[in-house]
Amino acid sequence: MNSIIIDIFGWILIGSGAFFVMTGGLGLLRLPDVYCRIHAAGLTDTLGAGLMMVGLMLYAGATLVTVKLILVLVFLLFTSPTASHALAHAARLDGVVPWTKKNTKEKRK
Amino acid sequence: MFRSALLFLVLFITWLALSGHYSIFLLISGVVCAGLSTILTLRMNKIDNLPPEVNFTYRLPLFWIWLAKEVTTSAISVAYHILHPKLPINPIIQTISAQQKTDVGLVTYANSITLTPGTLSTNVNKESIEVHALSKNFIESLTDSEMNLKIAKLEKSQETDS
Repeated sequence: MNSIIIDIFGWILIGSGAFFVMTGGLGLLRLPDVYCRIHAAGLTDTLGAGLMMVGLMLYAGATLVTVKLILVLVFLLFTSPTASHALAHAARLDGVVPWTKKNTKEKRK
Repeated sequence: MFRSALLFLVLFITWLALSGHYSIFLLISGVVCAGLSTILTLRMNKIDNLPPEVNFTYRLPLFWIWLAKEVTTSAISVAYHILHPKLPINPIIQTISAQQKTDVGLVTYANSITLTPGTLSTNVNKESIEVHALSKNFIESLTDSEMNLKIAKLEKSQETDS
């Protein structure tokens, strides 16, 4: 009985993680410029991956697999913002003009 | 000496946790690998003179829990903005002040900003961070500077410890 409840919680977490990964992918396609797309990718990195990892931890139980999953999660949470920042900083140095509502109106004229 | 012994121990425990096999051959290889890594690290410290200065205090886990809460709320908000048919975004770039004094504190602040969906640090200076936000209400949670103060406090508690 207990294991069924844990399994259900695990699957709920994995499912909602998958929802955020899908949303991040959709945002990557829909949003207008580099900076906004990095925001969408950040959604995949943080809550998408995080919820999935926690769900898998519940599924794995108190084993060495859980230890490895925790390590993966910690490394991911330290490295992914660094990579995002490097990308955004490079775009900024290269002179990519951020998209704003005004920009598009001017272009349409 | 204490520091390198600690490093060796941490490396060996990591080996044990990641391997999961405890035959004598693998245990000895673990000791050799951890020892070699420790010696190499000591040599590198002699070259660049920068021993790793990361001090954990009781505030750090508390900060992580608070950050997880922030990340969750803003991730839901970003997901709403993406899935909304009209795409109601209004990106702005704003420079916000940073009170952190050490490099580690500044990096922690910039990384926390980037980790929170909807805000993205694009440029880090000594006393300010340039932030790109998906819309105005994302940056409002930064300008009330709760995160800034929390990380500055975290930094101070580390300084008094060391």
